[in-house]
Amino acid sequence: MTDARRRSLPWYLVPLAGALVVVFLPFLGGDAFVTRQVLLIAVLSMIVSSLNLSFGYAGELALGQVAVYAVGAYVAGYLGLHGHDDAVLQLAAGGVAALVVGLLVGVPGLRFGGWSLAMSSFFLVLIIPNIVGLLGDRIGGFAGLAGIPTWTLLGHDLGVRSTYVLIVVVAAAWFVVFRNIVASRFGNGLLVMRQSPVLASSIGISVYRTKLLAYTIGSVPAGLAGVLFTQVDGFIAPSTFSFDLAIAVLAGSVLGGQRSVYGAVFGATLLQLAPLEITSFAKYSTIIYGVFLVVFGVLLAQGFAGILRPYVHRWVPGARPAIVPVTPAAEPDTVARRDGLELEVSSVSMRFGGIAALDGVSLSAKPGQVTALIGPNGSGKTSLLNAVSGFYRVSGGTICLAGRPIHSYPAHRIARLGIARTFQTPSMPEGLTTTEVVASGRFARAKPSLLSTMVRLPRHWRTRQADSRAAADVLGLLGLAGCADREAASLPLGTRRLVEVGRALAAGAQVLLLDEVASGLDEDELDHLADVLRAIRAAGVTVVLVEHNFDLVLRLSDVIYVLAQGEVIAVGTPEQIRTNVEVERVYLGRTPDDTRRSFGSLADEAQAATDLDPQRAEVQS
Amino acid sequence: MIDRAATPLLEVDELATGYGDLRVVWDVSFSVPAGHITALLGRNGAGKTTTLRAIAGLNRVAHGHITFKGDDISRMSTHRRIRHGIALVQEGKRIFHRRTVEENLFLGGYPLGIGRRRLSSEADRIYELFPVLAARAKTVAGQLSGGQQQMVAIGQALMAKPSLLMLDEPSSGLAPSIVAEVMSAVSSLTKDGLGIVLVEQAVEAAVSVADDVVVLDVGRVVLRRRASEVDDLEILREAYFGRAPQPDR
Repeated sequence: MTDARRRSLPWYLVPLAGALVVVFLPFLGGDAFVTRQVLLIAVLSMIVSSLNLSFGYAGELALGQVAVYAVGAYVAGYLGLHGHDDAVLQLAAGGVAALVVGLLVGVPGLRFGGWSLAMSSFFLVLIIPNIVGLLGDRIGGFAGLAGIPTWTLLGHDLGVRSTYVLIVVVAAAWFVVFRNIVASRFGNGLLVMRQSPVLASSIGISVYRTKLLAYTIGSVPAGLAGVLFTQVDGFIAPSTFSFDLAIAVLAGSVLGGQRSVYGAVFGATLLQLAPLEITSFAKYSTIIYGVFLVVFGVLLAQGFAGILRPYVHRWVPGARPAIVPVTPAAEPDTVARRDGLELEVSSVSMRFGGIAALDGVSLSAKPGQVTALIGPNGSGKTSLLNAVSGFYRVSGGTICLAGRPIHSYPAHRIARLGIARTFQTPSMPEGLTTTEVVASGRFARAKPSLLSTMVRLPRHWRTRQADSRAAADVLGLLGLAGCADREAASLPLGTRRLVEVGRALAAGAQVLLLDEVASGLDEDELDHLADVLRAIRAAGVTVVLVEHNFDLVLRLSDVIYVLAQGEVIAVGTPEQIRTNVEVERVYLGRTPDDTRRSFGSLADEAQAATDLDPQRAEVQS
Repeated sequence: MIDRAATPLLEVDELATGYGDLRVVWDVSFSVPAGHITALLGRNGAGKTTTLRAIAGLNRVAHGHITFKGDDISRMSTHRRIRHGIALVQEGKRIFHRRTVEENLFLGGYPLGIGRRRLSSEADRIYELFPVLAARAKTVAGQLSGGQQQMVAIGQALMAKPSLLMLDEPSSGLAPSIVAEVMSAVSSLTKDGLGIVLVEQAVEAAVSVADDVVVLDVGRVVLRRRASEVDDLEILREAYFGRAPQPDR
């Protein structure tokens, strides 16, 4: 670890101190009422954190946490009543059961996409009473399971205090893991995916698998919470796992801040303690939760975490995830030599409905060259880029990368083969620094296992170090070192475009697809961009440039392809294209006949056309 | 008191605008006197449509001024600009395809705030301009030919009695003979002092009816000429494709 990291070491002292106080509460004079409240808060926090992970970070609304919570509780209750009262055994069984339920709901829910996960998980909550009814007496029916025995650990009975300590420790341990997951490249990857699945797949993230992973892991704390809950009262019933609880979990998540670790504890605490103050609360709970949701959803999108975060960052040393500072290794204007790959598009066709967006387009982009793609609006330039990056399927023809056909690969796989791209509208997830955005390009490279991230094995630190170093190199090259720690989403457009180029470079792009990268840039920014692109070309990268800015295209390109109505109408050097009759025809909006016509004759024809009587004009048109 | 007769109908002065922080138009100035047609040309992405949208109030003016009938309207809301006499016909014949020609025209008269009978007499004005439409007043607009639909779109805009009409690519998607028809209709509109801004891809057709020609590139004016001075293509070619390319290698 670097010195900087050591200096900012004590960030975790605050949560650690908090956890210790809570753990030793019974020994510090907390009575049974207080400790019970603490346990209920711990349990609720875990359920809320489950929602935070899948919704706040992975961007997939899933309301099934309460169902998983019920599964964990019933598994533990059933085991307890059948003589298996070992705490570790029950926790393991509850965790595994949660994983299974998470997969069973997640696979179909995420396969179908859209709102299906939200819907299927929502109905899972609604059918809890039915399932309990079906299983009937074996799990206590509607009357519930009573008299669940207290835990033993390795054959020893756990007393009330030790059980309390164990519950708090399990909850605290989950929050450490949760924090480690989100404060990592995996967590950043989740935020990118939340911002835009298209963007995520363009940096090599398999959206389906990553969402499933986040949702399934997110189920575990809910299941564990169920196991823990059986020890609070020794009694569970279907009415505990009500729809009201599902709404309360959502309210807790919104209130505390969906994209927050400690916000889950905060939201859960508020919800657990608030009802005590108002005796008639239960009657109006749904209404009040509803109002909470609306007010916080509209006014405070980031919940209390969003309000408190700036203060925490200011007062708690190192609370902001530290960026390891690295001196730029690369000199500006030189990119380390890398071998570009040849991109060969052969007679590619693509149809949307009956309309041919691309009709037999062939082009070849060579390493160390800038290949530009120009053409009027709707000529198919972006469609071609999307076909190459795997977002659209071609209906005919082949796309080969260094001789290997890639047109049937999914987008994330194409990204991993070395094709990186930028988008017409640069999108950066909120809350990520410029360094993190650039480093996110490396998501698919040298991936440490999620386990090593969860418990911070050396592998995690090594990758993190390499990511930071690569990002710093790229930012140095782009002249963006000054923005390294700033939030990327709030940078001006011109800078965000460069950051996107940086993300593609950090990804190790061998083929770089640029979609209108110059639009909206002022003249200084354009010059800077041109310098950067020349450096990238000189390094050997294959650059494909879709661009409206003719001047830039003429200055930078080695080969220009002109598209019109889905067909390549001209190929050549800048000079050849500039004087090409076909290109002129397309841009000046002339039909082939017009070329031989003078202005005068057109005006005559216009007059002749209006002289026609209405009926004839109709027939003609 | 400003001498309004001497000031042009529309004056765009160092306009800069775009979408959010994406700047598309950097520095565009031109003016349209009453009764004149100004053709706004340029390759795609040059900022023509965005300029029209800024004049209509659909895009925020980031810098510069738009003066209309002597008033600075740069900060005025769109509906007030329309009531002030600005009309925009957007690209793609955006009319109600399932409504009749007459209903489409009546809808255009909404800013006048008048009753059905007077709307009907206003519509007659449009039928005089476009006799083709008179015969098809009760026809559903979707059944009309492309050229006729374009006339409905223009007629709809004219119903509100604008003093400035902005047309975004009226020829787009039309056969060459129909383009000529639409253009001739456009040129006949200026008789009563209507000013027109015409955005076109069909360059020659536009030049043939325009009084002034303004060519944009990457949001800046690269050519400004009287249409009568644009007598051959070379001058436009230069504006579109540049004169001295210096590819670096």
